[in-house]
Amino acid sequence: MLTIAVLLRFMDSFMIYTEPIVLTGGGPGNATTLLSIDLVKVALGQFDLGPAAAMSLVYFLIVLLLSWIFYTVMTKDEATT
Amino acid sequence: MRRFAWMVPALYIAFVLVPIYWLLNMSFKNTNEILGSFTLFPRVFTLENYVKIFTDPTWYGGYVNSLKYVLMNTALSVVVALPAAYAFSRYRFLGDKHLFFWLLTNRMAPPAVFALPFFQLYSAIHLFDTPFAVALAHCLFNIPLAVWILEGFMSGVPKELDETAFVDGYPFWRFFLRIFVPTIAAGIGVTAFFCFMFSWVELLLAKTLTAVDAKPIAATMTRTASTSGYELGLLAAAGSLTIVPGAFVIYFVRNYIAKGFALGRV
Repeated sequence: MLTIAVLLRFMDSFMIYTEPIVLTGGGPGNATTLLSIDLVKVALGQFDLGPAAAMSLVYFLIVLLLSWIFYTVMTKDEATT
Repeated sequence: MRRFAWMVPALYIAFVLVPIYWLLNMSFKNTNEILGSFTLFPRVFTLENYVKIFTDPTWYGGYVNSLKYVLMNTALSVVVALPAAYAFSRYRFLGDKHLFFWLLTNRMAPPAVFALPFFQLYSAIHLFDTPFAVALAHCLFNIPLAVWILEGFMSGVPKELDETAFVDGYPFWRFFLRIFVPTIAAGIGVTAFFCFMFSWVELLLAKTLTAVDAKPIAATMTRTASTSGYELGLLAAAGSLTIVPGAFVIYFVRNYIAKGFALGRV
């Protein structure tokens, strides 16, 4: 139960978008341009659709991989779930 | 020590409520007072921010648009998730555990990743800038969530209920709609609440998939912050109003929400 809760929080904070875009819009400079913001900028700001699609996939794989590692490490000693 | 134990939750509640109070506080001030001085309560009490929102179509239109796609999405998510959750809770089939976990991975997918494909797809089939586009896009993370919460509630109902009904000669759909759905009505309420909430606060997809006609309130708010200076009072009023629908919905499910948190692993 705790594992899932932590995992969900972990995933949610990895894909954060709303708070930085509303508060700073990615600035000052590039200080708060997170992956999600950068991706939207490339895709819908500059319309570089090919690179943006590639970025999407890599981004997705990063989250998936980290979540998987996280999940396996955290459930290693509890056989349930 | 024990005498001061009540202070822990009290402090926490104060910590959570202060920003909300500040938002309300700001919404009743005019811009000069917000920027000029630090006041704990509005010195010049004004309702002009709220009046502006309720009279300007670009403002209240945002709420209407948001409500449209949120309600559509909630209905869609619950209707689709009900049979799915029933299957996961009652039947054992090949790869059911994996499929169930795969649903969770849909929630892992960052919305930013899907913004681009959705954008192109919906532009191609002329769904772009309609509430349907956002409602369908939000299903991406709401249906898995709904399935997970409903599965928890359904597994709490003993399987004997199903068997008794079938022995009594109920056809499946009659049993499902007449007996099973009312049994887990609380669960459905909680699920609907979570779908409502997540769809309501989601900004990225809602902003990307709309331009003018279906612009949600959150996008309207970000626009105002960047262009016409800082109308902080107006922004605060709009923010206070966005809390209202969620508070309204949570009122109906307030007794079951904790169970939903536990079962849905939200």
